[in-house]
Amino acid sequence: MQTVEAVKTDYKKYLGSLIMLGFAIISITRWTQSGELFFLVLSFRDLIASYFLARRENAEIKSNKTMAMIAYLSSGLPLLYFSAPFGLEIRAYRLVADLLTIVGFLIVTWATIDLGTKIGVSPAKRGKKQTKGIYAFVNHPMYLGYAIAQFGWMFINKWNIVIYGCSLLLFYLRSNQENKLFKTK
Amino acid sequence: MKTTLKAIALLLAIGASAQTIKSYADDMANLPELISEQEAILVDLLNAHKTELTSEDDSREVLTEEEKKELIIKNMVHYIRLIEGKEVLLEELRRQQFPDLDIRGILEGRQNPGI
Repeated sequence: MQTVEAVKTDYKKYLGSLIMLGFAIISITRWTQSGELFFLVLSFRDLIASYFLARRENAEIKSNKTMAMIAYLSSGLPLLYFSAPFGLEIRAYRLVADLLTIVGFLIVTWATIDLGTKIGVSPAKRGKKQTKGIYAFVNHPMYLGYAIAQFGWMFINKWNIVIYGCSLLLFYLRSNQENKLFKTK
Repeated sequence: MKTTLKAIALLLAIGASAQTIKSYADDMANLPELISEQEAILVDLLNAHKTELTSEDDSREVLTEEEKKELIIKNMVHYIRLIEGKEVLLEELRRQQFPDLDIRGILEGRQNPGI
């Protein structure tokens, strides 16, 4: 995948930060309405991401527009997951899906904290490769977290298998591009 | 600082997991009672007891035939949900073979997207 040098000041980080702040407010609202602690986990992660995005380092090298589109598509794909037809779901499956989602988002939150100001949606090189914290054990913990979180949703509706497959493919493309960027001198 | 943030995230995740498991356990504990209650409601509805066939404002107004049917169907669906009988229902509908209707497609079709 072709890469381009980043020369302009990164203003998109403020937009990204505002979007994440919006997601955090939605999650907090849903927590106050439902009392489900999972929404606090989500809002906590979104607030951290919002903070780091606002202070994000400028990219030395970033990927081209095609890869950026792939990254945004990959980020929005979870919104397409189906719920159980007519709410007729198996309770045990729902429990497994919920627990996997919580574990997945915990990993995503830890990865966000470790990534800090290097965070971004589209693959880019911002300083040295992160190898500390959870990154010492896994190369791409953010994608691993999302993959775990979304895994259980396949049991809720069989059509989610297709979305999950697409999601994994997009994670692969993104992680592969990130690996290439960090090999670039 | 990072360690503190990670610890908060971990505590929240443990709390959320515990809450999810407790909610599931409570649901399972109450299930037999809920199923029994729903069975009683269905039996009453099918026997067309006039005391059960009233509108929600409890005005003891007798429902029309269409309203009775709707009430019975709604309660049957609720019962199927309680006993997790989705697969049996789908299988039975498929076996009925409606030539003009893709029943499985309709029932398995897209519902509201999840979170």
